[in-house]
Formats: sequence, C-alpha cells, structure tokens
Amino acid sequence: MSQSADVSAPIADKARQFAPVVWLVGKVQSGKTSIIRALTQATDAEIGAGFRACTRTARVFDFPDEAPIIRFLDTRGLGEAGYDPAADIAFCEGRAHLMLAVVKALDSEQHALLDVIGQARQRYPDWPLVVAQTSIHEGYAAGTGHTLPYPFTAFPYSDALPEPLIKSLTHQQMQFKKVAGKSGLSFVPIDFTQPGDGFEPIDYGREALVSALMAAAPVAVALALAELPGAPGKADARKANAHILGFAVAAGASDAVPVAGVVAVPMVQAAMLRQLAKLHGMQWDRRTYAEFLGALGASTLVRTASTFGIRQLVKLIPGYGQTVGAAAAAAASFATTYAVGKAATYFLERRRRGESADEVAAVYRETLQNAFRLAKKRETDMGNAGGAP
Amino acid sequence: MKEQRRLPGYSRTLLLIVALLLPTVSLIPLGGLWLWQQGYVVYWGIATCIVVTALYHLEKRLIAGPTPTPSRTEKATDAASDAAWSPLQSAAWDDVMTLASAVDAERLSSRDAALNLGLETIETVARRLHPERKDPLLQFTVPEALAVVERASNGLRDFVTKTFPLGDRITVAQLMWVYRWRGALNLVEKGHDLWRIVRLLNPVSAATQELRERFTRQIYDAGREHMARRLARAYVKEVGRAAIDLYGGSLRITQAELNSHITTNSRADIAAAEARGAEPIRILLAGQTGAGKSSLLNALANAVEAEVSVVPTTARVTAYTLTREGLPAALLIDTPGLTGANSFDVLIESAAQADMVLWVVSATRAAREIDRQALTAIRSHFSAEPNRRRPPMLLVLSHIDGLRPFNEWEPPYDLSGAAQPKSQSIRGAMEAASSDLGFAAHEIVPVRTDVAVAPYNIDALWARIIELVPEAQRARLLRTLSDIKSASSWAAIWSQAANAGRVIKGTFLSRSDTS
Repeated sequence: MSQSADVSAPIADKARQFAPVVWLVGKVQSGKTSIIRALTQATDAEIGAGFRACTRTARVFDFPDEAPIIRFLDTRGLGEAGYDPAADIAFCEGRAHLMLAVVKALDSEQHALLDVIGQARQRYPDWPLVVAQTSIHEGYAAGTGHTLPYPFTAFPYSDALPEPLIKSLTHQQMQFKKVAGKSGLSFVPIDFTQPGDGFEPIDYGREALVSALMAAAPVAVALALAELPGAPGKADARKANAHILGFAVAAGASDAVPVAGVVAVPMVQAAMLRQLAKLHGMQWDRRTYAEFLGALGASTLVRTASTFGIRQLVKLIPGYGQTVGAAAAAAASFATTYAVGKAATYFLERRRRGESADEVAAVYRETLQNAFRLAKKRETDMGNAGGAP
Repeated sequence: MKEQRRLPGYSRTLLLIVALLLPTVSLIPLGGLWLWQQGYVVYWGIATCIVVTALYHLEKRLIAGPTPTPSRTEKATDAASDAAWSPLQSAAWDDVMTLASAVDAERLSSRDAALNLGLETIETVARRLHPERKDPLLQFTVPEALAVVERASNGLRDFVTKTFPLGDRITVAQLMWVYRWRGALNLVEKGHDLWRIVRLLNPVSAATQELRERFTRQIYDAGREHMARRLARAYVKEVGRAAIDLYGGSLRITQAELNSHITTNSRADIAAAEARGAEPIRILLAGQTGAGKSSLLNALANAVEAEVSVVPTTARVTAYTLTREGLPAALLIDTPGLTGANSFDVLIESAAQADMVLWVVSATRAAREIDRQALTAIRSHFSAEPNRRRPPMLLVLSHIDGLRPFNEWEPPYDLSGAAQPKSQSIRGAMEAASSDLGFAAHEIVPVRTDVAVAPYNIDALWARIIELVPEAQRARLLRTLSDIKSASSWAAIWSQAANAGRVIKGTFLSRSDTS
C-alpha cells in the first residue's frame, strides 16, 4: 500500500494535465454544483470537499480525484467589483474545454455573466458555449409539476408551457445571442431538484444537458463526458468508466517520455486495479490476482510484455524514436491500460456476483481495438486544441 | 467654472447697488456730523435707546410664547439632545454637555465671566459645526442671531420659573422691567448708552450679557451656591442648544415662523408644520432587476400602477403617490434594477433625495454582491455628509413562496416558532439576507407580492413603514434644509431682505392693532 502512496500523486498530476476543462460561469447558487452532481453522481459533500483554489477568482473540481478525466472550473468572482475573467480564460487556453453558463431561468439580471461571456467570445469566437437555464419550476403556476416528456427539444417552445417561463427563457436566450453570436451556442432548460421537493424527475433535463454538452464539446471533452457516471448507459459500468479513462490517460502521458514508461505504466495499471477493486467493494489478494491474470490469458500477457520492451527500444532511436515512437508508445500504453481496466471491471463484477469470468480475455481484446481508436481520436483532438503542457 | 462665469454679473450688480446706495449712505456720517456740531448727540442717543428698548420689549411680548412648553424645560435640564438634529449637530451637543458638566458657578460671578462662558459655549458649537471656517463664530445671519436671543431667553426663563426659590412668583416680565429700569438709570448716570449701542453691533454678546444681567442678581441674592451652578449649567446648555440651531441653519426655518407670528419655538411643531407642508415623504424602492420592486409597488398602492413582468420593465426612476391612513403625503419612487456599478450614480442620487428606503431582494436569489456594493455606496454617501440624516431602511424579502418546500403555500407562517419547514426556510433566507446586506433582524420583512394570489404580509410591511415615519420625517427635515441652503443665490438673498422688511412692517401693524 505504501507503493500506492508514492505513485498516486504523480498519476493524478499526469491525468490532470490532459483532463479537459468545463468552465462553469454563473451567479452564486445558480445551480452549478447541481450540474456537477448530476454529471458525476458525486454527493454535495464530496463536491464541496473536492474543490480546490485554482485561479484568484476560480476554484476547480477534478473528477475522479485519483486520476481526473475532467475538471470543472467554477468562477466565483462573478459580480464582484473588479472581476477580470482574463485569468480564467487563460486557464482554459491550450486545453480542450467547454464554457457552460448557468443562469436561473427566471433571473433576468445577468449583466456580469453576459459581460464575461462577451469578453471570452471576443477573444475566442469559436469557443463552444452551452447555456443551462436552471430552476425552471420558478416559472410554473402553483401546484404544477414538470411537463413530460421533456418538451424543450423543439423550438419555438410549445404554447402549452407556462407563459412567464417561456417569456423569460426567450429573453435570456436573446441576450446571450446578442453578446455571444449564434454559432456554437446552445440552450438547455433544466431543473435539478432534491428528493422531496415535489418535482419528478429530480434531474429534469439531464439527458438533454449531456447531449447538448457532447454535441458542443471538442472530442476530448465529449469522450470524458461519455465516461462520466452521469452519462447515459449501463448503470453498473458507468461508475468505473471514469476511473479507467483517467488511469489510461495517465499511463499514456507517462509513456510520452522515453524510458520512463518502463517503470511508470505497470505502476499506473496496478494503481488502477486497486482503485477498481475498491469501487466494487473488493480487494486484490494473491489468489484473485492470479485468477485474473489466468483469465486474461498467458498469451495476452506475454504479448503485452514483449511489446513493452520493443517500444522502449524504439523510443531510444534518435529523432525517429522520440516523435513517432513516443506517440505510438503513448497510444499503446493508453489502449492497454484502458483495456486492462475494462477487463478487470468485467472480472470484478462477475466475481462479485459469484459467476465465472471466462470471457475476460475476449473483453480485453475487444476493448483494446476500441481503445486504439479512442487514443487516435484523442490525439487528433489534442493536436487541434494546441497540445497540452 | 461656474463662479468665473457669474463674476461679471456680480460686479455689475454690486456697482449698481453702490451707485444707488451711496447718496443715501453718505447721509449717515453727514447727519452724525450735524448732530455733533449742533450739540444734539446726547438727545439723539437717549431717543435711540428709548426706541430700541421699546421695540425690543414689543417684539418680546408679541413673539415670545405666553406659556412655556414643558418639553423645553425638560430639555434645558436633561441631557436629551434633539432627535431632529443631524449627527454633526448631535456631536456638537455632546461637546456642550461636556462643557456644561465641567462648568463652575464662579463662571457666572461677574459680567465678563458670564460673557466669556457664553462665548466659549458658542465657539465650541461653532468649531464643531463649521470646522472648515477660519472664523466660525460669524457663520450666521442677523435674523438668526435675533432668533437665538429669543430662544435662549425663553429656555432659561422656563428653567428659572420651575427651579428657583420664588421663581414662580417673580415673573420674567417683572425681572425684565426691573432690569430695564436699572439699565435706564445707567444710561443717564454713567453714559452707558454708547456702550449699549456698540454692544448691539454684536448680537451674540448682547444676548449673553442681557441674560447674565437678568439673572445673576437674583441668584446671588438667594445665596445658593449649588443653584448658581445649576443655572450655569442650564445657561451653557441653553446657549449651546440655541447655538447648535443657529450654526446648524435650523433657524432659517424659524424665520418663516417669525413672519407668520407663530408663537412657539419648539421644533416638534416645526416638524408637524412640515408634515402638513408641501414636501411629501419620499420612499425609494431599490433592488436588482426582477427582485419584485414593481410588484411590491402595486401591492403597496393596492392597484396595478407599474408594469410587472419576468423581463426588465422599469427603465427609469418613476414616482407614484401613496396614500394610507397614518401616513403623511408620500411618494413611492420606483427605480430601474441594479445592473452594475455604472448604475450606482442614479441610485445614490435617488437615495440622497429619499426619506425612507425599501430595499427589495428575492429570497430565491443568493447572488447579492451587487446589492451589497450599492448599499455600501449609499451608506458611505451619507456618512460623508454629516449634515444629513440617513433615511431609515427596510429590507423587503420577496418571492418567499419560491422557497423550499416548493409548491406549498399555506399562510400564515409563524416565523418565531418555525415548526413548519416553510417557516424554517423563510427564517433561513431572512438570516442569510440580513448577514449578506448588514440589516438587523427587525429591519427585514418577508413578503409575497405577486398579484396572482393575495399578497402576503404586506400589512406587516405597512406597520413597519408607519413606525418609521417619524424617522423619515426627521430625514426629510434635514433634506429640505440642505435643499434650501444649496438654493441660496442673489434671488434668495433679495427675497430674504424682502422678508426682513415684512417682519418690521408686521410688527408695527400689530402694535397699532393692539394699542
């Protein structure tokens, strides 16, 4: 376990360097934390404790903590005298990111926010922007609940919806279009309430928000969003996905540096396996580990081990090795780590239910194929975003 | 810039006045010379003194209140300062109290000592109220000086009547008669007349000396040392109180009273007269866009006066008249929502013209940084103007129906017990708003203003507003006063001169009526 303490900080750092940023801008209590909660399924307490100071005016919440795949930048200075968004804009520069403006649907006083959006857009007219219009129940007539199915996908909005709500939503949207232009801009009315508030469902509009974010976001952000626990898909797998992606990114990042990969990648993978077991409420002991390796198949392991050696040698070739070799090695490390993670999740799940885990090797091979495609997509996207530090 | 443009006009007017007055004014030294050459100076002096004394006596009879106001007697002896004073005037009163508590009976033992004590009191006040002037003692006008004589005399007379042995038997009129008779003897025997004339050139010293001479004799006849000390204190307080009014400019209002022969000096009556006057109480509605200012206005006016919408509607400062039992004439002033520091100028200007402020915040919006900044700006505006009293403020917490649990609205809510979850939410929101914006718990009123259902708790808000009316009236008095001061110009000075003429004319007419 002492080993894990040694490597956890560098792994988190590596992952953090590559993690895309969702820049949340909005007034106090406009619903930013609720959005993070809905996307990551973390509790309010976890989110509160997870925030760390970042720029002078903003704080950041990394998810998951061990190997972040996404970072939520929460601007807090909004509306304070002399707030200058330059530092927060700079934080987003040079990495994949998405602006998520959060406004209460019935709050028409948004000058400070519009000002910030205007400044960011003026510098980077193509930065994607999603506007979440929250707490829409404030515009409902007394005693009415949410309209189902979610009606805000079609525009103009239906006449059946409450008139003040529609009026306010449209007014806000016009104001945003005025400062931000119309391209790369989408609006999602949502209402994330608490159980017992009397509104069902409590995460009204979450799917619309996730799909709007995925549609607007650069590939790296979209990939991260797809792996978040709040993303649509099988509930069982969702929890582990974010962790696997985080460790895989960290592994890929470790391998971009010559030789260092020999040591780092297996350590990252070991840390990941420990984390996954924790998520499933289990522990690796010698027997389960041996069983997993057995299920993964000896041939797989041998192949992985030999390619490790070859890749490290390739990287040592001057000129060629450091660019092509490093890139290929990074992709391979990312893909194998990702596939091992998926296979381990499959193994752990089956084991917890007391079922046999015969298909582990098949899962590994299948995932590995996808993982290489994923790695390639990330690579092109990072190139577009101007590269990571 | 303004002064430079007006200067040629000033000089021209001045030259015109000099040209017109010079022939008349030149008669004064020439007449004096003639009197001296003919040897009539002594007769002229005697005649002048008789006329002045007669006029003074006449004015005293006509203008002084026949019955003393009990509250003024209390004030003369007690430490209570006047509620209508500005913070600066109150500070001056504290200075006077310090001086009064340290005063020694010896200070009234001789004429010069009493004069010095009076001057010291007046100077203390003057320095506090006009710290920027080199010669603060001269910062008043002649009508004000006459009024201060009047006021200090009245206050002291009440004190003597109520406090001194046999004070109720010896009327002030008798004292004054005795004093004047003695003064007349002095006039003839010692040639004291010239001194009196010179003395009249400085009304303040004349006032203090008159007072001293009127009372020291009785005190020392009674031989009661502690009584003398009490009188010395009362003397300092009365002179101080009158001086505060003098230098604070409050007496310019009294001048209007003099014109219309209102016989009481009490400022409570001035305030009451104000309330009946033309200037209404101005109640300002301020807050963020969408906080609910316009719907609160409609709820208070009990009619749809202002347009209410979920999108910003009030584009500029708009005034509405407000009528309600127990409320003097009032204007309700709706302002556009706060949109950032650039909108503060308009707001501060509106607040400077307001006598009460209703600050509206939505219970469901936690972002109150802009409210905090605006309130700080208003508070610092008033603390930078010690001659103005900050209007009383109430924090109105709107949209309480939007608090958790949503979809529940079963008023009334008991906020003290807070057994219901909604009551707890409302109380929580009140506490948050009060700590965010620096209001005390009793200065917050939670309301529901929307017209869709019956407005809630508006009656409680009305009760708080009416409680604050006296404070608002005091703020209005000082606001009106500073408005009058700032409007001073040549036109105003001419009108003051005309008013002074009317006083003299009125006095003569009354005299012919009564005699």
